[in-house]
Amino acid sequence: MSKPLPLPRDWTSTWLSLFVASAMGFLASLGVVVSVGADRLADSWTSELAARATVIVPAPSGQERVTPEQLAAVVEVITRTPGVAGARALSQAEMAALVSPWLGDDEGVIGDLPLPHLIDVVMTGEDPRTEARLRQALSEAAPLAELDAHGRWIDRLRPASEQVRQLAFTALGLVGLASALVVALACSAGLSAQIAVVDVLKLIGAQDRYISRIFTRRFRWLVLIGSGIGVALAVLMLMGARIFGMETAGTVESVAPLLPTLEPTPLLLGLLALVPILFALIATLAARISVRWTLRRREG
Amino acid sequence: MIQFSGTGLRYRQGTQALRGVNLDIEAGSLHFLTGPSGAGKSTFLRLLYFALRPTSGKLTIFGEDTNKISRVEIARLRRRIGVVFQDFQLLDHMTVFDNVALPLIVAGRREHEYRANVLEMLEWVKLSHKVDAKPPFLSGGEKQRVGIARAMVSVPDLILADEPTGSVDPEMGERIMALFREMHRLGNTVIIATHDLEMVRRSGAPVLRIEDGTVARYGPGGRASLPPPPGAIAEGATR
Repeated sequence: MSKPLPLPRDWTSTWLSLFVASAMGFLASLGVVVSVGADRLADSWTSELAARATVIVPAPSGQERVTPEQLAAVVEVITRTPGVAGARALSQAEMAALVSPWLGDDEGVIGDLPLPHLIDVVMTGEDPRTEARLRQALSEAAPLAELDAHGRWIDRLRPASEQVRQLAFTALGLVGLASALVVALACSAGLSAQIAVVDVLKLIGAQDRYISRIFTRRFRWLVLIGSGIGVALAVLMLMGARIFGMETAGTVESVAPLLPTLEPTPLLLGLLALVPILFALIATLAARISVRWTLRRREG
Repeated sequence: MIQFSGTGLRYRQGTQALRGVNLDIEAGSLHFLTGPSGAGKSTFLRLLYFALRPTSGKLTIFGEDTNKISRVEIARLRRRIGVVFQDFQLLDHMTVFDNVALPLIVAGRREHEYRANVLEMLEWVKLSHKVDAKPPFLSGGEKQRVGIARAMVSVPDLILADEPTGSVDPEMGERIMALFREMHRLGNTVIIATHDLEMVRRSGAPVLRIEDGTVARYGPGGRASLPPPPGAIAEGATR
Protein backbone atom coordinates (compact mmCIF):
# COMPACT_ATOMS: atom_id res chain seq x y z
CA MET A 1 0.00 0.00 0.00
CA SER A 2 1.39 3.39 -0.95
CA LYS A 3 1.51 6.13 1.62
CA PRO A 4 -1.80 7.93 2.18
CA LEU A 5 -2.06 11.17 0.27
CA PRO A 6 -2.47 14.14 2.61
CA LEU A 7 -5.08 16.79 1.92
CA PRO A 8 -4.40 20.52 2.38
CA ARG A 9 -5.19 21.92 5.81
CA ASP A 10 -8.49 23.64 5.32
CA TRP A 11 -9.41 25.05 8.70
CA THR A 12 -12.81 26.35 7.57
CA SER A 13 -14.13 22.99 6.44
CA THR A 14 -12.34 21.19 9.29
CA TRP A 15 -13.93 23.36 11.97
CA LEU A 16 -17.25 23.42 10.15
CA SER A 17 -17.35 19.63 9.98
CA LEU A 18 -16.26 19.27 13.61
CA PHE A 19 -18.78 21.82 14.84
CA VAL A 20 -21.67 20.42 12.79
CA ALA A 21 -20.86 16.85 13.84
CA SER A 22 -20.60 17.93 17.51
CA ALA A 23 -23.91 19.79 17.41
CA MET A 24 -25.74 16.99 15.63
CA GLY A 25 -24.13 14.37 17.89
CA PHE A 26 -25.32 16.35 20.91
CA LEU A 27 -28.86 16.66 19.52
CA ALA A 28 -28.99 13.00 18.51
CA SER A 29 -27.81 12.05 22.02
CA LEU A 30 -30.57 14.14 23.56
CA GLY A 31 -32.99 12.45 21.16
CA VAL A 32 -31.78 9.06 22.37
CA VAL A 33 -32.06 10.11 26.04
CA VAL A 34 -35.58 11.49 25.57
CA SER A 35 -36.70 8.46 23.53
CA VAL A 36 -35.37 5.96 26.03
CA GLY A 37 -36.83 8.07 28.86
CA ALA A 38 -40.22 8.22 27.13
CA ASP A 39 -40.11 4.49 26.53
CA ARG A 40 -39.39 3.86 30.20
CA LEU A 41 -42.05 6.38 31.15
CA ALA A 42 -44.67 4.64 29.03
CA ASP A 43 -43.73 1.35 30.64
CA SER A 44 -43.77 2.78 34.15
CA TRP A 45 -47.19 4.35 33.69
CA THR A 46 -48.90 1.07 33.00
CA SER A 47 -46.73 -1.13 35.22
CA GLU A 48 -47.12 1.21 38.22
CA LEU A 49 -50.87 1.20 37.82
CA ALA A 50 -51.13 -2.49 37.02
CA ALA A 51 -49.10 -3.43 40.10
CA ARG A 52 -51.21 -1.36 42.45
CA ALA A 53 -54.84 -1.35 43.56
CA THR A 54 -56.99 0.62 45.93
CA VAL A 55 -59.49 -0.88 48.32
CA ILE A 56 -62.31 1.45 49.37
CA VAL A 57 -63.78 0.55 52.75
CA PRO A 58 -67.07 2.33 53.58
CA ALA A 59 -68.54 2.29 57.07
CA PRO A 60 -70.77 -0.74 57.69
CA SER A 61 -74.48 -0.01 57.89
CA GLY A 62 -75.48 1.24 61.27
CA GLN A 63 -72.02 2.60 61.94
CA GLU A 64 -70.87 6.16 61.23
CA ARG A 65 -67.24 5.20 60.80
CA VAL A 66 -65.02 2.18 60.24
CA THR A 67 -63.28 1.32 63.45
CA PRO A 68 -59.48 0.95 63.45
CA GLU A 69 -59.92 -2.72 64.33
CA GLN A 70 -62.20 -3.33 61.35
CA LEU A 71 -59.77 -1.52 59.05
CA ALA A 72 -56.83 -3.50 60.41
CA ALA A 73 -58.76 -6.73 59.83
CA VAL A 74 -59.36 -5.81 56.17
CA VAL A 75 -55.67 -4.89 55.74
CA GLU A 76 -54.75 -8.23 57.28
CA VAL A 77 -57.03 -10.11 54.86
CA ILE A 78 -55.54 -8.24 51.90
CA THR A 79 -51.95 -8.77 53.03
CA ARG A 80 -52.49 -12.52 53.36
CA THR A 81 -53.82 -12.82 49.82
CA PRO A 82 -51.30 -14.52 47.49
CA GLY A 83 -49.75 -12.08 45.01
CA VAL A 84 -50.01 -9.10 47.35
CA ALA A 85 -46.70 -7.56 48.38
CA GLY A 86 -48.16 -5.20 50.94
CA ALA A 87 -51.15 -3.14 51.95
CA ARG A 88 -51.44 0.03 53.96
CA ALA A 89 -54.40 2.07 55.10
CA LEU A 90 -54.05 5.74 54.26
CA SER A 91 -53.74 7.95 57.32
CA GLN A 92 -56.18 10.76 58.13
CA ALA A 93 -53.60 13.30 56.92
CA GLU A 94 -53.16 11.49 53.58
CA MET A 95 -56.92 11.34 53.13
CA ALA A 96 -57.13 15.05 53.88
CA ALA A 97 -54.41 15.72 51.30
CA LEU A 98 -56.34 13.78 48.68
CA VAL A 99 -59.53 15.82 49.10
CA SER A 100 -57.92 19.12 49.97
CA PRO A 101 -58.12 20.44 46.37
CA TRP A 102 -61.91 20.38 46.68
CA LEU A 103 -62.52 20.86 50.43
CA GLY A 104 -59.55 22.89 51.59
CA ASP A 105 -56.98 22.09 54.24
CA ASP A 106 -59.19 22.18 57.31
CA GLU A 107 -58.74 18.72 58.86
CA GLY A 108 -61.63 19.39 61.25
CA VAL A 109 -64.08 19.74 58.34
CA ILE A 110 -62.70 16.65 56.62
CA GLY A 111 -62.76 14.69 59.89
CA ASP A 112 -66.49 15.35 60.22
CA LEU A 113 -67.30 13.94 56.78
CA PRO A 114 -68.24 10.25 56.41
CA LEU A 115 -65.42 9.51 54.00
CA PRO A 116 -64.62 5.85 53.20
CA HIS A 117 -61.19 4.57 54.19
CA LEU A 118 -58.68 3.78 51.47
CA ILE A 119 -56.16 0.97 51.50
CA ASP A 120 -53.22 1.16 49.09
CA VAL A 121 -52.38 -2.32 47.84
CA VAL A 122 -49.06 -3.18 46.19
CA MET A 123 -48.97 -6.41 44.23
CA THR A 124 -45.95 -8.51 43.43
CA GLY A 125 -46.58 -8.36 39.65
CA GLU A 126 -49.16 -8.12 36.93
CA ASP A 127 -50.79 -11.45 37.68
CA PRO A 128 -54.51 -11.16 36.81
CA ARG A 129 -55.26 -13.96 39.29
CA THR A 130 -54.24 -11.68 42.17
CA GLU A 131 -57.15 -9.35 41.44
CA ALA A 132 -59.60 -12.30 41.42
CA ARG A 133 -58.17 -13.63 44.69
CA LEU A 134 -58.46 -10.18 46.28
CA ARG A 135 -62.09 -9.83 45.22
CA GLN A 136 -62.82 -13.28 46.65
CA ALA A 137 -61.06 -12.52 49.93
CA LEU A 138 -62.77 -9.14 50.30
CA SER A 139 -66.23 -10.51 49.48
CA GLU A 140 -65.82 -12.92 52.40
CA ALA A 141 -64.14 -10.60 54.95
CA ALA A 142 -65.62 -7.18 54.06
CA PRO A 143 -68.51 -7.44 51.60
CA LEU A 144 -68.95 -3.69 51.43
CA ALA A 145 -65.34 -3.04 50.44
CA GLU A 146 -64.72 -2.19 46.80
CA LEU A 147 -61.60 -3.08 44.87
CA ASP A 148 -60.38 -0.55 42.31
CA ALA A 149 -57.72 -2.31 40.21
CA HIS A 150 -57.20 0.80 38.04
CA GLY A 151 -58.35 -1.16 34.98
CA ARG A 152 -60.09 1.78 33.37
CA TRP A 153 -56.98 3.97 33.84
CA ILE A 154 -54.77 1.31 32.42
CA ASP A 155 -57.07 0.93 29.42
CA ARG A 156 -56.76 4.67 28.79
CA LEU A 157 -53.05 4.91 29.52
CA ARG A 158 -51.93 2.02 27.33
CA PRO A 159 -52.76 3.74 24.00
CA ALA A 160 -51.51 7.06 25.37
CA SER A 161 -48.19 5.56 26.44
CA GLU A 162 -47.88 3.83 23.08
CA GLN A 163 -48.40 7.20 21.39
CA VAL A 164 -45.73 8.80 23.58
CA ARG A 165 -43.36 6.00 22.65
CA GLN A 166 -44.09 6.35 18.91
CA LEU A 167 -43.75 10.12 19.10
CA ALA A 168 -40.37 9.84 20.84
CA PHE A 169 -38.99 7.39 18.29
CA THR A 170 -40.36 9.43 15.37
CA ALA A 171 -38.59 12.49 16.81
CA LEU A 172 -35.39 10.44 17.17
CA GLY A 173 -35.72 9.27 13.56
CA LEU A 174 -36.15 12.86 12.36
CA VAL A 175 -33.12 14.03 14.37
CA GLY A 176 -31.14 11.15 12.84
CA LEU A 177 -32.26 12.04 9.31
CA ALA A 178 -31.54 15.75 9.81
CA SER A 179 -28.13 14.84 11.23
CA ALA A 180 -27.36 12.69 8.21
CA LEU A 181 -28.30 15.50 5.81
CA VAL A 182 -26.34 18.15 7.69
CA VAL A 183 -23.27 15.93 7.92
CA ALA A 184 -23.61 15.18 4.19
CA LEU A 185 -23.80 18.90 3.41
CA ALA A 186 -20.73 19.59 5.55
CA CYS A 187 -18.83 16.87 3.69
CA SER A 188 -19.94 18.31 0.37
CA ALA A 189 -18.82 21.81 1.41
CA GLY A 190 -15.47 20.40 2.52
CA LEU A 191 -15.04 18.69 -0.80
CA SER A 192 -15.80 21.88 -2.72
CA ALA A 193 -12.95 23.56 -0.83
CA GLN A 194 -10.56 20.87 -2.06
CA ILE A 195 -11.71 20.75 -5.66
CA ALA A 196 -8.30 21.83 -7.03
CA VAL A 197 -6.75 18.74 -5.49
CA VAL A 198 -9.45 16.55 -7.02
CA ASP A 199 -8.74 18.01 -10.47
CA VAL A 200 -4.99 17.41 -10.25
CA LEU A 201 -5.48 13.87 -9.03
CA LYS A 202 -7.86 13.14 -11.88
CA LEU A 203 -5.44 14.53 -14.45
CA ILE A 204 -2.61 12.32 -13.31
CA GLY A 205 -4.74 9.20 -13.51
CA ALA A 206 -6.29 8.69 -10.06
CA GLN A 207 -9.34 6.46 -10.09
CA ASP A 208 -12.59 7.78 -8.62
CA ARG A 209 -12.39 5.28 -5.79
CA TYR A 210 -8.85 6.41 -4.89
CA ILE A 211 -9.97 10.04 -4.61
CA SER A 212 -13.11 8.96 -2.79
CA ARG A 213 -11.02 7.02 -0.26
CA ILE A 214 -8.88 10.07 0.57
CA PHE A 215 -11.90 12.25 1.25
CA THR A 216 -14.03 9.65 3.03
CA ARG A 217 -11.14 8.89 5.40
CA ARG A 218 -10.81 12.56 6.27
CA PHE A 219 -14.51 13.17 6.85
CA ARG A 220 -15.03 9.89 8.67
CA TRP A 221 -12.45 10.93 11.27
CA LEU A 222 -13.69 14.50 11.54
CA VAL A 223 -17.28 13.37 12.07
CA LEU A 224 -16.29 10.58 14.44
CA ILE A 225 -14.34 13.02 16.62
CA GLY A 226 -16.96 15.78 16.34
CA SER A 227 -19.95 13.58 17.14
CA GLY A 228 -17.95 11.94 19.95
CA ILE A 229 -17.49 15.40 21.48
CA GLY A 230 -21.24 16.04 21.08
CA VAL A 231 -22.14 12.77 22.80
CA ALA A 232 -19.64 13.44 25.60
CA LEU A 233 -21.24 16.85 26.17
CA ALA A 234 -24.69 15.28 26.28
CA VAL A 235 -23.51 12.65 28.81
CA LEU A 236 -21.91 15.38 30.93
CA MET A 237 -25.15 17.32 30.83
CA LEU A 238 -27.08 14.19 31.81
CA MET A 239 -24.74 13.59 34.74
CA GLY A 240 -24.91 17.26 35.70
CA ALA A 241 -28.69 17.10 35.68
CA ARG A 242 -28.56 14.20 38.11
CA ILE A 243 -25.93 15.76 40.34
CA PHE A 244 -27.61 19.14 40.52
CA GLY A 245 -31.07 17.70 41.06
CA MET A 246 -32.52 18.80 37.75
CA GLU A 247 -33.85 15.31 37.27
CA THR A 248 -37.50 15.81 37.98
CA ALA A 249 -38.31 12.21 38.86
CA GLY A 250 -37.81 11.84 42.57
CA THR A 251 -38.35 15.47 43.48
CA VAL A 252 -42.00 14.75 44.20
CA GLU A 253 -42.34 11.15 45.18
CA SER A 254 -46.01 10.87 44.40
CA VAL A 255 -45.60 11.88 40.75
CA ALA A 256 -42.30 10.09 40.14
CA PRO A 257 -43.88 7.36 38.01
CA LEU A 258 -45.38 10.04 35.75
CA LEU A 259 -42.04 11.65 34.86
CA PRO A 260 -39.17 10.36 32.70
CA THR A 261 -35.99 9.15 34.38
CA LEU A 262 -32.51 10.26 33.24
CA GLU A 263 -30.75 7.32 34.80
CA PRO A 264 -27.65 6.41 32.67
CA THR A 265 -28.31 2.71 32.35
CA PRO A 266 -26.00 0.42 30.34
CA LEU A 267 -28.65 0.35 27.57
CA LEU A 268 -28.72 4.14 27.35
CA LEU A 269 -24.92 4.45 27.44
CA GLY A 270 -24.63 1.71 24.81
CA LEU A 271 -27.06 3.55 22.53
CA LEU A 272 -25.15 6.80 23.06
CA ALA A 273 -21.88 5.06 22.18
CA LEU A 274 -23.47 4.01 18.89
CA VAL A 275 -24.18 7.64 17.90
CA PRO A 276 -20.59 8.55 16.79
CA ILE A 277 -20.23 5.21 15.02
CA LEU A 278 -23.46 5.76 13.12
CA PHE A 279 -22.43 9.31 12.30
CA ALA A 280 -19.06 8.11 11.01
CA LEU A 281 -20.87 5.62 8.77
CA ILE A 282 -23.18 8.36 7.52
CA ALA A 283 -20.17 10.63 6.84
CA THR A 284 -18.42 7.85 4.95
CA LEU A 285 -21.45 7.28 2.78
CA ALA A 286 -22.14 11.00 2.32
CA ALA A 287 -18.52 11.78 1.40
CA ARG A 288 -18.40 8.86 -1.03
CA ILE A 289 -21.59 9.97 -2.77
CA SER A 290 -20.43 13.62 -2.80
CA VAL A 291 -17.05 12.76 -4.33
CA ARG A 292 -18.48 10.45 -6.99
CA TRP A 293 -21.18 12.97 -7.85
CA THR A 294 -18.69 15.85 -8.01
CA LEU A 295 -16.29 13.87 -10.19
CA ARG A 296 -19.03 12.91 -12.61
CA ARG A 297 -20.35 16.47 -12.75
CA ARG A 298 -16.88 17.94 -13.42
CA GLU A 299 -16.07 15.52 -16.20
CA GLY A 300 -19.48 15.88 -17.81
CA MET B 1 -0.74 5.58 -31.62
CA ILE B 2 -2.96 8.65 -32.02
CA GLN B 3 -5.45 8.87 -34.87
CA PHE B 4 -7.69 11.81 -35.63
CA SER B 5 -10.41 10.85 -38.14
CA GLY B 6 -12.52 13.83 -39.15
CA THR B 7 -12.27 14.92 -35.52
CA GLY B 8 -14.05 18.09 -34.47
CA LEU B 9 -14.72 19.82 -31.19
CA ARG B 10 -17.37 22.41 -30.56
CA TYR B 11 -17.70 23.90 -27.07
CA ARG B 12 -21.13 24.14 -25.49
CA GLN B 13 -21.22 27.87 -25.98
CA GLY B 14 -20.87 27.27 -29.71
CA THR B 15 -17.16 27.93 -30.43
CA GLN B 16 -15.79 25.50 -32.99
CA ALA B 17 -12.29 24.80 -31.63
CA LEU B 18 -11.32 22.02 -34.05
CA ARG B 19 -12.92 20.88 -37.31
CA GLY B 20 -12.41 17.82 -39.47
CA VAL B 21 -8.90 16.98 -38.29
CA ASN B 22 -7.31 13.96 -39.98
CA LEU B 23 -3.96 13.07 -38.53
CA ASP B 24 -1.83 10.12 -37.49
CA ILE B 25 0.80 10.54 -34.81
CA GLU B 26 3.11 7.57 -34.75
CA ALA B 27 4.37 5.97 -31.57
CA GLY B 28 7.86 7.17 -30.66
CA SER B 29 7.60 10.43 -32.61
CA LEU B 30 8.39 13.95 -31.43
CA HIS B 31 6.13 16.78 -32.62
CA PHE B 32 5.90 20.45 -31.92
CA LEU B 33 2.48 22.03 -31.79
CA THR B 34 2.32 25.67 -32.83
CA GLY B 35 -0.22 28.25 -33.80
CA PRO B 36 -1.44 31.68 -32.79
CA SER B 37 -2.71 32.27 -29.29
CA GLY B 38 -6.27 30.99 -28.95
CA ALA B 39 -5.95 28.80 -32.03
CA GLY B 40 -6.74 25.64 -30.09
CA LYS B 41 -3.37 24.23 -28.98
CA SER B 42 -4.55 23.64 -25.42
CA THR B 43 -7.82 22.19 -26.69
CA PHE B 44 -5.82 19.82 -28.91
CA LEU B 45 -3.77 18.69 -25.90
CA ARG B 46 -6.86 18.39 -23.67
CA LEU B 47 -8.36 16.00 -26.21
CA LEU B 48 -5.20 13.92 -25.96
CA TYR B 49 -5.36 13.60 -22.17
CA PHE B 50 -9.12 12.92 -22.17
CA ALA B 51 -10.16 16.16 -20.49
CA LEU B 52 -12.40 16.68 -23.53
CA ARG B 53 -14.08 14.31 -25.94
CA PRO B 54 -14.60 15.04 -29.65
CA THR B 55 -18.05 16.28 -30.59
CA SER B 56 -17.67 14.94 -34.14
CA GLY B 57 -15.50 12.40 -35.90
CA LYS B 58 -13.32 10.00 -34.02
CA LEU B 59 -10.14 10.12 -31.94
CA THR B 60 -8.23 6.96 -31.11
CA ILE B 61 -5.45 6.94 -28.53
CA PHE B 62 -3.52 3.78 -27.63
CA GLY B 63 -6.05 1.95 -29.84
CA GLU B 64 -9.01 3.16 -27.73
CA ASP B 65 -11.84 5.25 -29.17
CA THR B 66 -12.03 8.18 -26.76
CA ASN B 67 -15.79 8.46 -27.24
CA LYS B 68 -16.34 4.91 -26.06
CA ILE B 69 -14.03 4.48 -23.09
CA SER B 70 -15.30 4.43 -19.52
CA ARG B 71 -14.18 6.68 -16.66
CA VAL B 72 -12.20 3.82 -15.18
CA GLU B 73 -10.44 3.29 -18.51
CA ILE B 74 -9.67 7.01 -18.76
CA ALA B 75 -7.90 6.93 -15.40
CA ARG B 76 -5.93 3.86 -16.49
CA LEU B 77 -4.92 5.47 -19.81
CA ARG B 78 -3.97 8.75 -18.15
CA ARG B 79 -1.28 6.89 -16.24
CA ARG B 80 0.38 6.27 -19.61
CA ILE B 81 0.40 9.99 -20.32
CA GLY B 82 2.59 12.63 -18.70
CA VAL B 83 1.28 16.17 -18.99
CA VAL B 84 3.20 19.40 -18.40
CA PHE B 85 0.54 22.01 -17.77
CA GLN B 86 0.99 25.65 -18.66
CA ASP B 87 -0.36 26.60 -15.22
CA PHE B 88 1.73 23.84 -13.56
CA GLN B 89 -1.17 22.22 -11.63
CA LEU B 90 0.96 21.50 -8.56
CA LEU B 91 -0.42 20.71 -5.11
CA ASP B 92 0.65 23.57 -2.87
CA HIS B 93 0.40 21.61 0.38
CA MET B 94 2.83 18.93 -0.75
CA THR B 95 6.60 19.09 -1.04
CA VAL B 96 8.41 19.18 -4.36
CA PHE B 97 9.39 15.54 -3.81
CA ASP B 98 5.78 14.45 -3.24
CA ASN B 99 4.49 16.51 -6.15
CA VAL B 100 6.93 14.81 -8.49
CA ALA B 101 6.11 11.41 -6.99
CA LEU B 102 2.34 11.97 -7.27
CA PRO B 103 1.74 9.81 -10.39
CA LEU B 104 3.61 6.96 -8.70
CA ILE B 105 1.80 7.41 -5.38
CA VAL B 106 -1.55 7.36 -7.18
CA ALA B 107 -0.45 4.25 -9.05
CA GLY B 108 0.05 2.54 -5.68
CA ARG B 109 3.87 2.41 -5.69
CA ARG B 110 5.75 2.44 -2.38
CA GLU B 111 8.20 5.18 -1.52
CA HIS B 112 11.23 2.90 -1.44
CA GLU B 113 10.38 1.86 -5.02
CA TYR B 114 10.21 5.36 -6.44
CA ARG B 115 12.48 7.43 -4.21
CA ALA B 116 15.58 7.05 -6.41
CA ASN B 117 13.60 7.81 -9.60
CA VAL B 118 12.13 10.96 -8.14
CA LEU B 119 15.48 12.21 -6.87
CA GLU B 120 17.06 11.51 -10.26
CA MET B 121 14.32 13.49 -12.02
CA LEU B 122 14.80 16.37 -9.60
CA GLU B 123 18.51 16.33 -10.30
CA TRP B 124 17.78 16.47 -14.04
CA VAL B 125 15.71 19.60 -13.63
CA LYS B 126 18.23 21.03 -11.13
CA LEU B 127 15.90 21.01 -8.17
CA SER B 128 17.76 18.62 -5.87
CA HIS B 129 18.14 21.41 -3.34
CA LYS B 130 14.38 22.04 -3.25
CA VAL B 131 13.21 18.52 -2.41
CA ASP B 132 11.37 19.60 0.73
CA ALA B 133 10.19 22.99 -0.52
CA LYS B 134 6.55 23.63 -1.26
CA PRO B 135 5.30 25.20 -4.53
CA PRO B 136 4.20 28.55 -3.07
CA PHE B 137 7.88 29.17 -2.24
CA LEU B 138 9.15 28.39 -5.76
CA SER B 139 9.65 30.73 -8.70
CA GLY B 140 7.62 30.27 -11.88
CA GLY B 141 10.54 28.53 -13.58
CA GLU B 142 11.02 26.17 -10.65
CA LYS B 143 7.34 25.29 -10.65
CA GLN B 144 7.60 24.59 -14.36
CA ARG B 145 10.50 22.22 -13.75
CA VAL B 146 8.58 20.42 -10.97
CA GLY B 147 5.71 19.95 -13.42
CA ILE B 148 8.10 18.57 -16.04
CA ALA B 149 9.69 16.19 -13.56
CA ARG B 150 6.24 14.97 -12.49
CA ALA B 151 5.18 14.41 -16.10
CA MET B 152 8.25 12.31 -16.83
CA VAL B 153 8.88 10.43 -13.59
CA SER B 154 6.71 7.48 -14.51
CA VAL B 155 8.31 7.30 -18.00
CA PRO B 156 4.92 7.54 -19.74
CA ASP B 157 4.27 6.36 -23.29
CA LEU B 158 3.00 9.78 -24.30
CA ILE B 159 4.30 13.12 -23.04
CA LEU B 160 2.26 16.26 -23.66
CA ALA B 161 3.76 19.61 -22.77
CA ASP B 162 2.01 22.97 -22.93
CA GLU B 163 4.62 25.74 -23.22
CA PRO B 164 7.18 23.84 -21.11
CA THR B 165 9.93 26.42 -21.57
CA GLY B 166 7.73 29.48 -21.25
CA SER B 167 8.76 30.27 -17.67
CA VAL B 168 12.45 29.31 -17.73
CA ASP B 169 15.66 30.98 -18.87
CA PRO B 170 17.25 29.93 -22.21
CA GLU B 171 19.82 27.71 -20.53
CA MET B 172 17.20 25.83 -18.55
CA GLY B 173 15.01 25.77 -21.69
CA GLU B 174 17.80 23.94 -23.53
CA ARG B 175 18.19 21.53 -20.63
CA ILE B 176 14.47 20.80 -20.58
CA MET B 177 14.45 20.26 -24.33
CA ALA B 178 17.33 17.86 -23.93
CA LEU B 179 15.18 15.97 -21.44
CA PHE B 180 12.31 15.77 -23.93
CA ARG B 181 14.70 14.57 -26.64
CA GLU B 182 16.02 11.95 -24.24
CA MET B 183 12.49 10.71 -23.57
CA HIS B 184 11.90 10.62 -27.32
CA ARG B 185 15.15 8.73 -27.82
CA LEU B 186 13.92 6.17 -25.30
CA GLY B 187 10.92 5.55 -27.56
CA ASN B 188 8.30 7.75 -25.93
CA THR B 189 5.92 9.86 -27.99
CA VAL B 190 6.32 13.57 -27.26
CA ILE B 191 4.10 16.50 -28.28
CA ILE B 192 5.22 19.97 -27.22
CA ALA B 193 3.01 23.02 -27.65
CA THR B 194 5.13 26.16 -27.97
CA HIS B 195 5.35 29.66 -29.36
CA ASP B 196 9.15 29.44 -29.54
CA LEU B 197 9.60 28.97 -33.30
CA GLU B 198 13.36 29.38 -33.07
CA MET B 199 13.51 26.34 -30.80
CA VAL B 200 11.23 24.48 -33.21
CA ARG B 201 13.47 25.26 -36.18
CA ARG B 202 16.59 24.20 -34.32
CA SER B 203 15.06 20.84 -33.40
CA GLY B 204 14.16 19.84 -36.96
CA ALA B 205 11.21 17.85 -35.62
CA PRO B 206 7.85 17.82 -37.44
CA VAL B 207 5.43 20.59 -36.58
CA LEU B 208 1.67 20.47 -36.14
CA ARG B 209 0.29 23.91 -36.82
CA ILE B 210 -3.19 24.76 -35.63
CA GLU B 211 -5.08 27.63 -37.11
CA ASP B 212 -8.79 28.28 -37.54
CA GLY B 213 -9.57 24.89 -36.06
CA THR B 214 -7.56 22.93 -38.63
CA VAL B 215 -4.25 21.14 -38.12
CA ALA B 216 -1.46 20.93 -40.70
CA ARG B 217 1.76 18.99 -40.39
CA TYR B 218 5.05 20.50 -41.54
CA GLY B 219 8.56 19.23 -41.58
CA PRO B 220 9.58 15.57 -41.96
CA GLY B 221 6.48 13.65 -43.10
CA GLY B 222 4.56 16.90 -43.62
CA ARG B 223 4.02 19.36 -46.44
CA ALA B 224 7.12 21.50 -45.91
CA SER B 225 10.59 21.05 -44.55
CA LEU B 226 10.43 23.94 -42.15
CA PRO B 227 7.80 25.28 -39.80
CA PRO B 228 5.79 28.10 -41.34
CA PRO B 229 6.42 31.70 -40.46
CA PRO B 230 4.20 33.26 -37.82
CA GLY B 231 0.76 34.03 -39.21
CA ALA B 232 0.91 31.45 -41.98
CA ILE B 233 -2.47 29.82 -42.51
CA ALA B 234 -2.63 26.10 -43.07
CA GLU B 235 -5.00 25.14 -45.81
CA GLY B 236 -5.91 21.79 -44.42
CA ALA B 237 -4.82 18.82 -42.49
CA THR B 238 -2.32 16.33 -43.84
CA ARG B 239 -1.77 12.74 -42.87
